[in-house]
Amino acid sequence: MNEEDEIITKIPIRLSNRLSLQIHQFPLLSRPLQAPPSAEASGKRITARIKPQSRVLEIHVPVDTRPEVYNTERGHELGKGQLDDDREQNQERKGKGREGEEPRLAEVRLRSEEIPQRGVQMLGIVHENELHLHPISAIHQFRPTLTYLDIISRKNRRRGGDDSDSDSDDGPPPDPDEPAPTAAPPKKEKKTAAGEAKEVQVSARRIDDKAGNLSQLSNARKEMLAIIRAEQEESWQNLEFCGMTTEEAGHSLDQFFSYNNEELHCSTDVTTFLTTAPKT
Amino acid sequence: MSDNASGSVSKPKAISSLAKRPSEVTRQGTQKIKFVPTLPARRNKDVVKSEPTLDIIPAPSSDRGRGRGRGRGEGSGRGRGGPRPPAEMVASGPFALGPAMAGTSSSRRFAQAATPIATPSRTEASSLGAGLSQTAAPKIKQESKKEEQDEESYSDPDEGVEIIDMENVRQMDWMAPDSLRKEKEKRLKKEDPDASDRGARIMDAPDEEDDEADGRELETMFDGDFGITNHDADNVSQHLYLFQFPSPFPTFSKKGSDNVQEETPLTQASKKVTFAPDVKVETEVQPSSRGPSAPAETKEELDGLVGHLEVYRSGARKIRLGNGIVLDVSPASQPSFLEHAVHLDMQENKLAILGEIFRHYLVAPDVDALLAAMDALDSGPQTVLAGEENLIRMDVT
Repeated sequence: MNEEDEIITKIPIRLSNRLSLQIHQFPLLSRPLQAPPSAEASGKRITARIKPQSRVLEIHVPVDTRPEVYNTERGHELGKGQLDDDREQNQERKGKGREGEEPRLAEVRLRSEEIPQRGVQMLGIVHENELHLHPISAIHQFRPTLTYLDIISRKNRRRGGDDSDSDSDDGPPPDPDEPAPTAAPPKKEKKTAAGEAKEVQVSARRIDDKAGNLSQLSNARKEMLAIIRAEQEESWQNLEFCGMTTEEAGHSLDQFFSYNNEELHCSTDVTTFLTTAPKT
Repeated sequence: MSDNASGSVSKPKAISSLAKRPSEVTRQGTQKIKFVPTLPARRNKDVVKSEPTLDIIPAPSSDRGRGRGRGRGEGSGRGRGGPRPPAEMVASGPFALGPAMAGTSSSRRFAQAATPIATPSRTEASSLGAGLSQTAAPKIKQESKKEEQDEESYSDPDEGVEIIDMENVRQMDWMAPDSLRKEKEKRLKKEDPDASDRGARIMDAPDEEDDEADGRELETMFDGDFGITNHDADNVSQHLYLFQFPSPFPTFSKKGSDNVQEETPLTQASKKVTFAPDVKVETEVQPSSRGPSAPAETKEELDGLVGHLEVYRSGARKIRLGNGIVLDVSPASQPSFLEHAVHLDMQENKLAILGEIFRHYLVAPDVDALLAAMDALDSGPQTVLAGEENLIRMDVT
C-alpha cells in the first residue's frame, strides 16, 4: 500500500449486542416484501409465526385476489387443499370467522430454512457519522411452501387410480426415509407398483417403521427422521409482524444503536484469526 | 450485391450494416418500431356491460392528440395504456417514495410501498387491460434514479388497440411483470448526472450488463458509503450494511475487566488505555455498568466504541480496532435478492423489520499487520534473564 495514502475520513465504530438480529432472505428481485394494495385495502396484513425449537419461521404474505390477476376457482380448490393440509398438521388457524365462505388460497406462505453463517456477520448502520455494528445471530432463507399441492395430488391419485390424471402424476418414487403421513395411500401405491416391490423393499415396511425394524435405517437417517418429527410436532407460535415503517420497528432500530460512549477493551489479537481453529 | 429495390432503404445491402439510420432511432439509441402490427380488437369479456365498450373508442381517439411526442411530460414514464385512470396523478415508479416518507418517524428512506391503494374501478373500459391499477409495485435497490426516457412515439393506435410499451409494462399494474433492462448501449449514452454519490468514473465491465451496480468500478461505486463524498448524507445515513468478519470476532469487554463477568460489572474500574495512539480516546461519560449482564450465558452485553473505520484517498477502507487489529474492508459479492434485517423479540413475540440490507462488505485481516503480529507472536515473549547474552536461545517450535 502506498505510504502517501492519506486518510480522508475516520469514522468511529461502535459495537452493541443488545438485540437478537436475524437476516431474512427472500426470493424477490426488485420488489419489497409487502402486501399488495388491494389486499391491504381489505385489511389483510403480512403475518408471521415461528417454531422456536426447530428454528423455523413462516411468513404469510397476502396475495392479490383481484379477478384480473387471480383465478378464483383455482383459488378455491387450492384453498381447500390448504385447509386440509393445515388440519392434518394441526396448524389450522382458529376462529377465522365466516364459516359459510369457501376457503380461498389468499396468501403465500414463505417458510424459512436456517443457513450456517460464514465467519461472523455484522450489521452496520452509519448513524450520526458513526458506524454502529451489531452481530447477526441467524440467517434464514425463505421459500414459498406449496404443501397444499401434496394433499390435492394425493386425493386425485386416490380417486384417479390407474388413469393418469394430469394432476396426479406420481412424480419421484416414494422416499424410503420419509415418514408416511397417512398409511392408506402408500399401500395402494405399492399394490399398483408391484413390479418395483423388490427395489423398494424398505418402503414396504414403512408402515411399521416406527415400531420396529429400526436397524434397517442408519443412524443418520434416524436422526433426520427424529428432527423432522420434532419439527412437525412442535406447534406454531404467532408473531406480530412489524414492517419497516411501523412504530415497533422504529423502536427496535433505536435499540440497535450503541449509546454508551465508553471504549471497550479488546482482549484478543489479530493473530487469533490464524491461531484459533475455526468453529465447525 | 444487388441494390435494394425499394426506395426507402438507401443503404447498399451488401454490407449489412448494423448501424442505425438516424430516422430509425430514437434519442436513446433504441430501435424505433416502424410497423405496428394490427392486433385484433380486444374481445370483450362476457361480464362486460355494453356501455363501457363505448368508452374505449372515444378514449384512444382523445389520446391521439396527445399521443405523440409526449416526451417527458409524464415524468414517471408511465406506459401509455388505453383509457387513463381519472385525472389523479398517481405516484408510481421510483419517485413514489416522496409522500410516504413524511409519515415515518426517522429519516429512513427505504423503498417502502407508497403506492396509494388504487381501487380497480369497474367503470373503466372492459378490455383486458381494464381494472389494472396503472401503478407499479415499488422497486427496491434503485441506486440510480431512472433516467427520464423519451416516450416512444408510435403511430396512432387503431381503435380498440392498446399500445403498451414493453419497457413500461411494469407500471401497468401491481402484478405486472418486470421487463428486462435494456442493453448497455443505452447506458453509455446517458450522462448519468445523478450518480453523484458514485465516483466520477463509470467503467462498464463488458460481461455484466444487468445490474447497473455491477457494471462499474467497484471501489468508486461504494465510495459514497462511508463519507468520501458527503452529499446526500441523509440518504446514506440509514443504509444497512452487512459486514462479514473473519471468525472469531475479537472479544471485547468493558474496560477495566478482561474476563467475562457473571455479576454486574464494576462501575469505577480503572481505565487503562491500551489502544494504539491513533484510536480516539474519549473520556468516560457514563459509568460502565449498563443494564443486567446476560444470565447464565457467556454473552456479555456490549455497548461502546471499539475502533475506527478509516477511509483512504485511494478508496481503501480499513477498520482499526484495539490491540493493533487492522482489517481490510472490501465490497463482497452483492446478492441480487431481497434481504431483511430483522429483530426477533421472543419476549414480546414480535418480528420487527429494521430494513433492507443495502450492501455487503467483506472484512479480512490486513495481511501486513497480521504477518507482523504473527512474527511477534512466534518470537515469543522477550523475557530478559540475567546473563542472557551468554546463553543460546533454544528453538522449541
